Amino acid sequence: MALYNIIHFLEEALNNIRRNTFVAAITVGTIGIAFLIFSIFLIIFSNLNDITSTWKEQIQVVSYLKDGLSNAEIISIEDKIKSEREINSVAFISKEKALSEFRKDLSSQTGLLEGLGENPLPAYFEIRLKKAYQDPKSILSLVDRLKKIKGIEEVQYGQEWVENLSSFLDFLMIAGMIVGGLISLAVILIVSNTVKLTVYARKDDIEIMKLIGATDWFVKAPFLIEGMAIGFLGSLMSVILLFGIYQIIVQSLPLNAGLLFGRFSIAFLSWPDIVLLLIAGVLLGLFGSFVSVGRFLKV
Amino acid sequence: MFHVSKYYDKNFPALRDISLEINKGDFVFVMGPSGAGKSTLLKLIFCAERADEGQILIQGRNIARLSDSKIPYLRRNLGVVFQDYKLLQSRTIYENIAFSLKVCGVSNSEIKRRVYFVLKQVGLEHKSDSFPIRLSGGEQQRAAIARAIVNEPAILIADEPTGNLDYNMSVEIFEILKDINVRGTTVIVATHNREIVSKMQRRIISLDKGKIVSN
Repeated sequence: MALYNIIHFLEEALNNIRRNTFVAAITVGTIGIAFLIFSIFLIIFSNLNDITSTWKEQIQVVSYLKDGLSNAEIISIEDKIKSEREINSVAFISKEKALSEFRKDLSSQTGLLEGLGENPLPAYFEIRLKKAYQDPKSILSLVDRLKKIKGIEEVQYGQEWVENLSSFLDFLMIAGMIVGGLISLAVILIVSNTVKLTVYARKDDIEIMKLIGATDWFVKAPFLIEGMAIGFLGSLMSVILLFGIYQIIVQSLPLNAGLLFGRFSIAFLSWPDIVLLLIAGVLLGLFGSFVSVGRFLKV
Repeated sequence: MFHVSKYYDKNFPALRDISLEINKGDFVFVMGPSGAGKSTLLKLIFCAERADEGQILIQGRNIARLSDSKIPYLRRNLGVVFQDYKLLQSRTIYENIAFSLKVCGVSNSEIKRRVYFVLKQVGLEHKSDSFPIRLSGGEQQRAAIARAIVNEPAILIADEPTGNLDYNMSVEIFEILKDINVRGTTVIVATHNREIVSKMQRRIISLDKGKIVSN
Protein backbone atom coordinates (compact mmCIF):
# COMPACT_ATOMS: atom_id res chain seq x y z
CA MET A 1 0.00 0.00 0.00
CA ALA A 2 2.80 2.41 0.93
CA LEU A 3 4.69 1.68 -2.30
CA TYR A 4 1.43 1.93 -4.29
CA ASN A 5 0.86 5.36 -2.77
CA ILE A 6 4.41 6.58 -3.40
CA ILE A 7 4.18 5.54 -7.07
CA HIS A 8 0.78 7.22 -7.29
CA PHE A 9 2.07 10.44 -5.69
CA LEU A 10 5.04 10.64 -8.06
CA GLU A 11 2.81 9.90 -11.06
CA GLU A 12 0.30 12.52 -9.95
CA ALA A 13 3.00 15.17 -9.37
CA LEU A 14 4.53 14.47 -12.79
CA ASN A 15 1.13 14.47 -14.51
CA ASN A 16 0.15 17.72 -12.77
CA ILE A 17 3.27 19.41 -14.13
CA ARG A 18 2.55 17.92 -17.58
CA ARG A 19 -1.11 18.98 -17.50
CA ASN A 20 -0.18 22.50 -16.43
CA THR A 21 3.06 22.90 -18.39
CA PHE A 22 2.53 26.59 -19.06
CA VAL A 23 1.82 27.50 -15.43
CA ALA A 24 4.69 25.27 -14.27
CA ALA A 25 7.08 26.93 -16.74
CA ILE A 26 6.07 30.42 -15.60
CA THR A 27 6.46 29.38 -11.96
CA VAL A 28 9.90 27.88 -12.58
CA GLY A 29 10.88 31.07 -14.47
CA THR A 30 9.69 33.36 -11.67
CA ILE A 31 11.46 31.32 -9.02
CA GLY A 32 14.55 31.18 -11.24
CA ILE A 33 14.70 34.97 -11.59
CA ALA A 34 14.14 35.48 -7.84
CA PHE A 35 16.95 33.07 -7.03
CA LEU A 36 19.14 34.64 -9.71
CA ILE A 37 18.92 38.01 -7.96
CA PHE A 38 19.83 36.33 -4.70
CA SER A 39 22.72 34.38 -6.20
CA ILE A 40 24.11 37.50 -7.92
CA PHE A 41 24.17 39.10 -4.48
CA LEU A 42 25.79 35.96 -3.08
CA ILE A 43 28.53 35.93 -5.74
CA ILE A 44 29.30 39.63 -5.23
CA PHE A 45 29.33 39.29 -1.47
CA SER A 46 31.50 36.18 -1.38
CA ASN A 47 33.99 37.72 -3.84
CA LEU A 48 34.17 40.91 -1.76
CA ASN A 49 34.78 38.73 1.27
CA ASP A 50 37.62 36.98 -0.54
CA ILE A 51 39.16 40.29 -1.56
CA THR A 52 38.98 41.70 1.96
CA SER A 53 40.53 38.58 3.44
CA THR A 54 43.51 39.02 1.10
CA TRP A 55 43.75 42.58 2.37
CA LYS A 56 43.63 41.29 5.92
CA GLU A 57 46.42 38.84 5.15
CA GLN A 58 48.65 41.80 4.32
CA ILE A 59 48.41 43.08 7.87
CA GLN A 60 51.81 42.67 9.53
CA VAL A 61 53.47 43.72 12.74
CA VAL A 62 57.12 44.79 12.64
CA SER A 63 59.23 44.54 15.82
CA TYR A 64 62.49 46.53 15.61
CA LEU A 65 65.38 45.22 17.70
CA LYS A 66 67.91 47.13 19.72
CA ASP A 67 71.42 47.25 18.26
CA GLY A 68 74.15 44.98 19.54
CA LEU A 69 72.11 41.90 20.49
CA SER A 70 73.85 38.55 20.39
CA ASN A 71 72.55 35.67 18.25
CA ALA A 72 71.41 33.85 21.38
CA GLU A 73 69.42 36.89 22.46
CA ILE A 74 67.81 37.23 19.01
CA ILE A 75 66.83 33.54 19.03
CA SER A 76 65.34 33.93 22.49
CA ILE A 77 63.29 36.95 21.32
CA GLU A 78 62.08 34.97 18.30
CA ASP A 79 61.00 32.12 20.58
CA LYS A 80 59.11 34.52 22.81
CA ILE A 81 57.34 36.04 19.80
CA LYS A 82 56.47 32.60 18.43
CA SER A 83 54.97 31.58 21.75
CA GLU A 84 52.17 34.18 21.37
CA ARG A 85 48.91 32.56 20.21
CA GLU A 86 48.18 35.18 17.49
CA ILE A 87 51.31 34.44 15.49
CA ASN A 88 51.10 32.76 12.09
CA SER A 89 54.67 33.30 10.90
CA VAL A 90 57.79 35.21 11.92
CA ALA A 91 60.66 36.27 9.62
CA PHE A 92 63.95 37.72 10.88
CA ILE A 93 65.51 40.52 8.84
CA SER A 94 69.10 41.30 9.88
CA LYS A 95 70.66 44.76 9.80
CA GLU A 96 72.57 43.84 6.64
CA LYS A 97 69.50 42.50 4.87
CA ALA A 98 67.53 45.60 5.90
CA LEU A 99 70.20 47.80 4.33
CA SER A 100 70.39 45.81 1.13
CA GLU A 101 66.59 45.94 0.79
CA PHE A 102 66.73 49.66 1.44
CA ARG A 103 69.36 50.04 -1.27
CA LYS A 104 67.17 48.02 -3.65
CA ASP A 105 64.16 50.22 -2.92
CA LEU A 106 66.17 53.41 -3.51
CA SER A 107 68.22 52.10 -6.43
CA SER A 108 67.48 55.20 -8.52
CA GLN A 109 68.74 57.53 -5.84
CA THR A 110 71.95 55.74 -4.76
CA GLY A 111 73.55 59.11 -4.07
CA LEU A 112 71.43 59.46 -0.95
CA LEU A 113 73.12 56.44 0.63
CA GLU A 114 76.68 57.53 -0.07
CA GLY A 115 76.89 59.74 3.01
CA LEU A 116 76.01 56.88 5.34
CA GLY A 117 78.92 55.58 7.38
CA GLU A 118 77.77 52.87 9.73
CA ASN A 119 74.58 50.92 8.90
CA PRO A 120 71.87 52.92 10.74
CA LEU A 121 69.04 50.46 10.09
CA PRO A 122 67.88 48.16 12.91
CA ALA A 123 67.31 44.42 12.56
CA TYR A 124 63.62 43.46 12.84
CA PHE A 125 61.06 40.67 12.93
CA GLU A 126 58.23 40.65 10.33
CA ILE A 127 55.24 39.06 12.03
CA ARG A 128 52.13 37.80 10.25
CA LEU A 129 48.95 37.04 12.20
CA LYS A 130 46.48 34.19 12.17
CA LYS A 131 43.12 34.97 10.46
CA ALA A 132 41.15 35.08 13.69
CA TYR A 133 43.39 37.80 15.15
CA GLN A 134 43.50 40.22 12.22
CA ASP A 135 41.44 42.90 13.98
CA PRO A 136 42.56 46.11 15.76
CA LYS A 137 41.76 44.86 19.29
CA SER A 138 43.81 41.67 19.01
CA ILE A 139 46.65 43.51 17.26
CA LEU A 140 46.81 46.18 20.00
CA SER A 141 46.93 43.57 22.75
CA LEU A 142 49.71 41.68 20.92
CA VAL A 143 51.67 44.88 20.35
CA ASP A 144 51.48 45.66 24.08
CA ARG A 145 52.94 42.24 24.92
CA LEU A 146 55.64 42.50 22.22
CA LYS A 147 56.77 45.88 23.55
CA LYS A 148 57.47 44.27 26.93
CA ILE A 149 59.91 41.73 25.47
CA LYS A 150 63.46 42.71 26.39
CA GLY A 151 65.51 43.63 23.32
CA ILE A 152 62.59 44.98 21.25
CA GLU A 153 62.92 48.71 20.77
CA GLU A 154 59.79 49.59 18.83
CA VAL A 155 56.71 47.89 17.35
CA GLN A 156 54.88 49.19 14.27
CA TYR A 157 51.74 47.84 12.68
CA GLY A 158 50.22 50.51 10.40
CA GLN A 159 47.60 51.58 12.93
CA GLU A 160 45.61 53.83 10.60
CA TRP A 161 45.39 51.24 7.82
CA VAL A 162 44.26 48.51 10.22
CA GLU A 163 41.58 50.72 11.74
CA ASN A 164 40.28 51.92 8.38
CA LEU A 165 40.20 48.40 7.01
CA SER A 166 38.45 47.18 10.11
CA SER A 167 35.70 49.81 9.99
CA PHE A 168 35.28 49.22 6.24
CA LEU A 169 34.88 45.49 6.85
CA ASP A 170 32.34 46.15 9.62
CA PHE A 171 30.39 48.38 7.25
CA LEU A 172 30.57 45.75 4.51
CA MET A 173 29.33 43.04 6.84
CA ILE A 174 26.36 45.11 8.11
CA ALA A 175 25.44 46.30 4.61
CA GLY A 176 25.74 42.73 3.35
CA MET A 177 23.52 41.42 6.10
CA ILE A 178 20.85 44.07 5.48
CA VAL A 179 20.85 43.70 1.69
CA GLY A 180 21.14 39.90 1.91
CA GLY A 181 18.36 39.75 4.49
CA LEU A 182 16.03 41.88 2.37
CA ILE A 183 16.77 39.88 -0.79
CA SER A 184 16.28 36.60 1.10
CA LEU A 185 12.95 37.83 2.43
CA ALA A 186 11.87 38.86 -1.08
CA VAL A 187 12.92 35.46 -2.48
CA ILE A 188 11.04 33.60 0.27
CA LEU A 189 7.88 35.63 -0.38
CA ILE A 190 8.12 35.40 -4.18
CA VAL A 191 8.81 31.66 -4.27
CA SER A 192 6.26 30.60 -1.67
CA ASN A 193 3.56 32.90 -3.11
CA THR A 194 4.19 31.77 -6.69
CA VAL A 195 3.83 28.15 -5.61
CA LYS A 196 0.71 29.14 -3.66
CA LEU A 197 -0.82 30.62 -6.81
CA THR A 198 -0.38 27.34 -8.70
CA VAL A 199 -2.14 25.54 -5.86
CA TYR A 200 -4.85 28.21 -5.70
CA ALA A 201 -5.58 27.67 -9.40
CA ARG A 202 -6.47 24.08 -8.53
CA LYS A 203 -8.44 24.63 -5.33
CA ASP A 204 -11.57 23.21 -6.99
CA ASP A 205 -9.66 20.00 -7.76
CA ILE A 206 -8.66 19.74 -4.11
CA GLU A 207 -12.30 20.12 -3.04
CA ILE A 208 -13.45 17.46 -5.51
CA MET A 209 -10.74 15.01 -4.39
CA LYS A 210 -11.78 15.46 -0.78
CA LEU A 211 -15.46 14.92 -1.63
CA ILE A 212 -14.60 11.67 -3.40
CA GLY A 213 -13.00 10.34 -0.22
CA ALA A 214 -9.31 11.20 -0.57
CA THR A 215 -7.48 11.66 2.74
CA ASP A 216 -5.64 14.94 3.33
CA TRP A 217 -2.30 13.26 2.66
CA PHE A 218 -3.50 11.64 -0.55
CA VAL A 219 -4.38 15.11 -1.86
CA LYS A 220 -1.44 16.91 -0.32
CA ALA A 221 1.50 14.64 -1.18
CA PRO A 222 1.51 15.18 -4.98
CA PHE A 223 1.29 18.95 -4.45
CA LEU A 224 4.25 18.82 -2.06
CA ILE A 225 6.32 16.78 -4.53
CA GLU A 226 5.32 19.18 -7.30
CA GLY A 227 6.27 22.18 -5.13
CA MET A 228 9.67 20.67 -4.39
CA ALA A 229 10.26 19.82 -8.06
CA ILE A 230 9.31 23.33 -9.20
CA GLY A 231 11.45 24.92 -6.46
CA PHE A 232 14.38 22.71 -7.47
CA LEU A 233 14.01 23.48 -11.19
CA GLY A 234 13.72 27.22 -10.43
CA SER A 235 16.87 27.30 -8.33
CA LEU A 236 18.70 25.09 -10.85
CA MET A 237 17.69 27.52 -13.59
CA SER A 238 19.12 30.41 -11.57
CA VAL A 239 22.47 28.61 -11.16
CA ILE A 240 22.63 27.92 -14.93
CA LEU A 241 21.71 31.53 -15.78
CA LEU A 242 24.20 32.81 -13.24
CA PHE A 243 26.94 30.66 -14.75
CA GLY A 244 26.13 32.07 -18.20
CA ILE A 245 26.26 35.65 -16.91
CA TYR A 246 29.46 34.86 -15.01
CA GLN A 247 31.15 33.51 -18.15
CA ILE A 248 30.17 36.61 -20.16
CA ILE A 249 31.45 38.98 -17.46
CA VAL A 250 34.70 37.09 -16.83
CA GLN A 251 35.51 36.95 -20.55
CA SER A 252 34.75 40.61 -21.09
CA LEU A 253 36.85 41.81 -18.12
CA PRO A 254 40.16 43.40 -19.16
CA LEU A 255 43.14 41.39 -17.88
CA ASN A 256 44.41 44.18 -15.66
CA ALA A 257 41.05 44.58 -13.88
CA GLY A 258 42.34 42.07 -11.37
CA LEU A 259 45.02 44.50 -10.29
CA LEU A 260 42.33 46.90 -9.17
CA PHE A 261 40.99 44.34 -6.72
CA GLY A 262 44.33 42.88 -5.77
CA ARG A 263 43.45 39.52 -7.31
CA PHE A 264 43.15 38.09 -10.78
CA SER A 265 39.82 36.33 -10.99
CA ILE A 266 36.20 36.58 -9.88
CA ALA A 267 35.25 33.27 -8.30
CA PHE A 268 31.95 31.51 -9.16
CA LEU A 269 29.75 30.24 -6.34
CA SER A 270 31.37 27.43 -4.35
CA TRP A 271 29.86 23.92 -4.52
CA PRO A 272 28.43 24.17 -0.99
CA ASP A 273 26.76 27.48 -1.96
CA ILE A 274 25.24 25.88 -5.07
CA VAL A 275 23.98 22.89 -3.08
CA LEU A 276 22.51 25.23 -0.44
CA LEU A 277 20.79 27.26 -3.16
CA LEU A 278 19.20 24.11 -4.63
CA ILE A 279 18.12 22.91 -1.18
CA ALA A 280 16.63 26.36 -0.48
CA GLY A 281 14.63 26.06 -3.73
CA VAL A 282 13.31 22.63 -2.75
CA LEU A 283 12.42 23.74 0.78
CA LEU A 284 10.70 26.96 -0.31
CA GLY A 285 8.65 25.05 -2.91
CA LEU A 286 7.69 22.54 -0.25
CA PHE A 287 6.79 25.29 2.21
CA GLY A 288 4.66 27.19 -0.33
CA SER A 289 2.74 24.03 -1.27
CA PHE A 290 2.32 22.89 2.30
CA VAL A 291 0.83 26.16 3.49
CA SER A 292 -1.49 26.69 0.54
CA VAL A 293 -2.84 23.15 0.12
CA GLY A 294 -3.60 23.01 3.83
CA ARG A 295 -5.88 26.00 3.43
CA PHE A 296 -8.14 24.25 0.91
CA LEU A 297 -8.35 20.86 2.60
CA LYS A 298 -11.20 21.71 4.95
CA VAL A 299 -14.02 20.23 2.88
CA MET B 1 -31.71 11.01 11.60
CA PHE B 2 -32.85 11.96 15.07
CA HIS B 3 -33.64 15.55 16.07
CA VAL B 4 -31.01 16.99 13.74
CA SER B 5 -30.51 20.76 13.58
CA LYS B 6 -28.02 22.85 11.67
CA TYR B 7 -27.42 26.56 12.17
CA TYR B 8 -25.48 28.81 9.80
CA ASP B 9 -27.07 31.73 11.65
CA LYS B 10 -28.12 31.43 15.31
CA ASN B 11 -31.59 32.89 14.67
CA PHE B 12 -32.38 31.13 11.39
CA PRO B 13 -31.61 27.40 11.46
CA ALA B 14 -31.01 25.79 8.07
CA LEU B 15 -32.50 22.58 9.50
CA ARG B 16 -34.66 22.37 12.59
CA ASP B 17 -35.26 19.19 14.58
CA ILE B 18 -35.25 16.82 11.60
CA SER B 19 -36.08 13.18 12.33
CA LEU B 20 -36.45 10.67 9.54
CA GLU B 21 -35.54 7.13 8.59
CA ILE B 22 -34.47 5.84 5.18
CA ASN B 23 -34.31 2.10 4.70
CA LYS B 24 -31.69 0.16 2.79
CA GLY B 25 -32.62 0.00 -0.90
CA ASP B 26 -35.05 2.95 -0.76
CA PHE B 27 -35.35 5.59 -3.47
CA VAL B 28 -36.19 8.91 -1.82
CA PHE B 29 -36.76 12.39 -3.19
CA VAL B 30 -36.04 15.44 -1.04
CA MET B 31 -38.07 18.38 -2.30
CA GLY B 32 -38.82 21.93 -1.34
CA PRO B 33 -38.29 25.53 -2.43
CA SER B 34 -34.84 27.12 -2.63
CA GLY B 35 -33.40 27.66 0.83
CA ALA B 36 -35.63 24.95 2.36
CA GLY B 37 -32.56 23.01 3.54
CA LYS B 38 -32.41 20.21 0.92
CA SER B 39 -28.72 20.61 0.13
CA THR B 40 -27.84 21.04 3.81
CA LEU B 41 -29.67 17.80 4.61
CA LEU B 42 -27.64 15.92 1.99
CA LYS B 43 -24.37 17.61 3.00
CA LEU B 44 -24.86 16.37 6.55
CA ILE B 45 -24.94 12.80 5.22
CA PHE B 46 -21.56 13.06 3.47
CA CYS B 47 -20.14 15.34 6.18
CA ALA B 48 -19.57 18.40 3.97
CA GLU B 49 -21.45 20.08 6.83
CA ARG B 50 -21.66 18.92 10.44
CA ALA B 51 -24.87 18.77 12.46
CA ASP B 52 -25.06 21.13 15.44
CA GLU B 53 -27.60 18.96 17.23
CA GLY B 54 -28.94 15.42 16.92
CA GLN B 55 -27.68 12.10 15.59
CA ILE B 56 -27.26 10.77 12.06
CA LEU B 57 -26.89 7.00 11.93
CA ILE B 58 -25.62 5.24 8.81
CA GLN B 59 -25.52 1.47 9.18
CA GLY B 60 -25.67 1.94 12.95
CA ARG B 61 -22.80 4.45 13.17
CA ASN B 62 -23.36 8.03 14.35
CA ILE B 63 -21.65 10.17 11.73
CA ALA B 64 -22.68 13.45 13.35
CA ARG B 65 -19.76 13.01 15.73
CA LEU B 66 -17.33 11.44 13.25
CA SER B 67 -13.76 12.78 13.59
CA ASP B 68 -12.39 14.72 10.60
CA SER B 69 -9.77 12.05 9.91
CA LYS B 70 -12.48 9.38 9.46
CA ILE B 71 -14.60 11.39 7.01
CA PRO B 72 -12.69 10.21 3.87
CA TYR B 73 -13.44 6.58 4.76
CA LEU B 74 -17.16 7.36 5.16
CA ARG B 75 -17.20 9.12 1.77
CA ARG B 76 -15.71 6.07 0.06
CA ASN B 77 -18.87 4.18 1.02
CA LEU B 78 -21.11 6.91 -0.34
CA GLY B 79 -21.52 8.08 -3.91
CA VAL B 80 -22.25 11.77 -4.36
CA VAL B 81 -23.52 13.51 -7.50
CA PHE B 82 -23.62 17.32 -7.71
CA GLN B 83 -25.57 19.78 -9.82
CA ASP B 84 -22.34 21.21 -11.26
CA TYR B 85 -20.89 17.68 -11.82
CA LYS B 86 -17.61 18.50 -10.04
CA LEU B 87 -15.42 16.69 -12.54
CA LEU B 88 -11.66 17.32 -12.58
CA GLN B 89 -11.35 19.43 -15.73
CA SER B 90 -7.73 18.60 -16.44
CA ARG B 91 -8.39 14.83 -16.47
CA THR B 92 -10.14 12.56 -18.90
CA ILE B 93 -13.43 10.88 -18.02
CA TYR B 94 -11.53 7.63 -17.44
CA GLU B 95 -9.07 9.37 -15.08
CA ASN B 96 -11.91 11.10 -13.23
CA ILE B 97 -13.64 7.82 -12.48
CA ALA B 98 -10.39 5.97 -11.80
CA PHE B 99 -9.45 8.56 -9.17
CA SER B 100 -12.25 7.31 -6.88
CA LEU B 101 -10.71 3.86 -6.97
CA LYS B 102 -7.11 5.04 -6.63
CA VAL B 103 -8.10 6.77 -3.41
CA CYS B 104 -9.04 3.32 -2.06
CA GLY B 105 -5.81 1.68 -3.25
CA VAL B 106 -7.41 -0.50 -5.94
CA SER B 107 -4.92 -2.08 -8.39
CA ASN B 108 -4.59 -0.64 -11.90
CA SER B 109 -5.97 -3.77 -13.62
CA GLU B 110 -9.01 -3.80 -11.32
CA ILE B 111 -9.48 -0.04 -11.88
CA LYS B 112 -9.54 -0.61 -15.64
CA ARG B 113 -12.11 -3.39 -15.37
CA ARG B 114 -14.42 -1.47 -13.05
CA VAL B 115 -14.18 1.89 -14.85
CA TYR B 116 -15.15 0.32 -18.19
CA PHE B 117 -17.99 -1.53 -16.48
CA VAL B 118 -19.56 1.66 -15.07
CA LEU B 119 -18.88 3.63 -18.26
CA LYS B 120 -20.91 1.00 -20.09
CA GLN B 121 -23.62 1.22 -17.46
CA VAL B 122 -24.05 4.99 -18.09
CA GLY B 123 -23.49 4.68 -21.86
CA LEU B 124 -20.20 6.59 -22.04
CA GLU B 125 -17.72 3.87 -22.98
CA HIS B 126 -16.85 5.75 -26.19
CA LYS B 127 -16.00 8.95 -24.25
CA SER B 128 -13.48 7.53 -21.81
CA ASP B 129 -10.55 9.52 -23.26
CA SER B 130 -12.48 12.78 -23.60
CA PHE B 131 -12.01 15.71 -21.27
CA PRO B 132 -15.13 16.95 -19.43
CA ILE B 133 -15.22 20.21 -21.40
CA ARG B 134 -15.80 18.23 -24.64
CA LEU B 135 -18.92 16.57 -23.20
CA SER B 136 -22.52 17.83 -23.08
CA GLY B 137 -24.09 18.58 -19.68
CA GLY B 138 -25.98 15.28 -19.73
CA GLU B 139 -22.82 13.34 -20.58
CA GLN B 140 -20.87 15.10 -17.84
CA GLN B 141 -23.56 14.23 -15.31
CA ARG B 142 -23.54 10.59 -16.46
CA ALA B 143 -19.75 10.58 -15.99
CA ALA B 144 -20.24 12.02 -12.49
CA ILE B 145 -22.77 9.27 -11.73
CA ALA B 146 -20.32 6.65 -13.03
CA ARG B 147 -17.68 8.06 -10.68
CA ALA B 148 -20.15 7.99 -7.78
CA ILE B 149 -21.10 4.33 -8.27
CA VAL B 150 -17.73 2.84 -9.30
CA ASN B 151 -16.94 2.07 -5.64
CA GLU B 152 -20.27 0.22 -5.34
CA PRO B 153 -21.46 2.49 -2.51
CA ALA B 154 -24.33 1.55 -0.21
CA ILE B 155 -25.88 4.99 -0.62
CA LEU B 156 -25.98 7.32 -3.64
CA ILE B 157 -26.69 10.97 -2.87
CA ALA B 158 -27.60 13.32 -5.71
CA ASP B 159 -28.00 17.05 -5.11
CA GLU B 160 -30.05 18.60 -7.93
CA PRO B 161 -28.49 16.24 -10.48
CA THR B 162 -30.67 17.60 -13.30
CA GLY B 163 -30.58 21.26 -12.26
CA ASN B 164 -28.53 22.21 -15.32
CA LEU B 165 -30.15 19.81 -17.81
CA ASP B 166 -33.12 19.93 -20.17
CA TYR B 167 -36.14 17.65 -19.76
CA ASN B 168 -34.99 14.78 -22.00
CA MET B 169 -31.55 14.63 -20.45
CA SER B 170 -33.14 14.80 -16.99
CA VAL B 171 -35.33 11.78 -17.80
CA GLU B 172 -32.21 9.94 -18.94
CA ILE B 173 -30.41 10.73 -15.67
CA PHE B 174 -33.34 9.62 -13.53
CA GLU B 175 -33.54 6.36 -15.51
CA ILE B 176 -29.90 5.68 -14.67
CA LEU B 177 -30.53 6.48 -10.98
CA LYS B 178 -33.53 4.12 -11.05
CA ASP B 179 -31.33 1.35 -12.50
CA ILE B 180 -28.74 1.87 -9.77
CA ASN B 181 -31.47 1.64 -7.15
CA VAL B 182 -32.78 -1.59 -8.67
CA ARG B 183 -29.30 -3.11 -8.18
CA GLY B 184 -29.69 -2.50 -4.41
CA THR B 185 -28.17 0.94 -3.79
CA THR B 186 -30.12 3.35 -1.59
CA VAL B 187 -30.69 6.56 -3.60
CA ILE B 188 -31.44 9.97 -2.10
CA VAL B 189 -32.12 12.77 -4.58
CA ALA B 190 -32.74 16.45 -3.88
CA THR B 191 -34.59 18.00 -6.80
CA HIS B 192 -36.95 20.71 -8.01
CA ASN B 193 -38.18 18.64 -10.91
CA ARG B 194 -41.85 17.99 -9.91
CA GLU B 195 -42.83 16.57 -13.28
CA ILE B 196 -40.36 13.71 -13.22
CA VAL B 197 -40.80 13.12 -9.49
CA SER B 198 -44.55 12.68 -9.85
CA LYS B 199 -44.01 10.27 -12.76
CA MET B 200 -41.60 8.11 -10.77
CA GLN B 201 -43.98 7.56 -7.84
CA ARG B 202 -41.38 7.28 -5.07
CA ARG B 203 -41.24 8.42 -1.47
CA ILE B 204 -40.97 12.23 -1.16
CA ILE B 205 -39.63 14.14 1.85
CA SER B 206 -40.72 17.78 1.61
CA LEU B 207 -38.85 20.49 3.42
CA ASP B 208 -39.71 24.12 4.01
CA LYS B 209 -37.73 26.64 6.05
CA GLY B 210 -35.61 23.84 7.51
CA LYS B 211 -38.53 21.67 8.70
CA ILE B 212 -40.10 18.54 7.29
CA VAL B 213 -43.58 19.44 6.04
CA SER B 214 -44.48 16.05 4.57
CA ASN B 215 -42.87 12.62 4.46
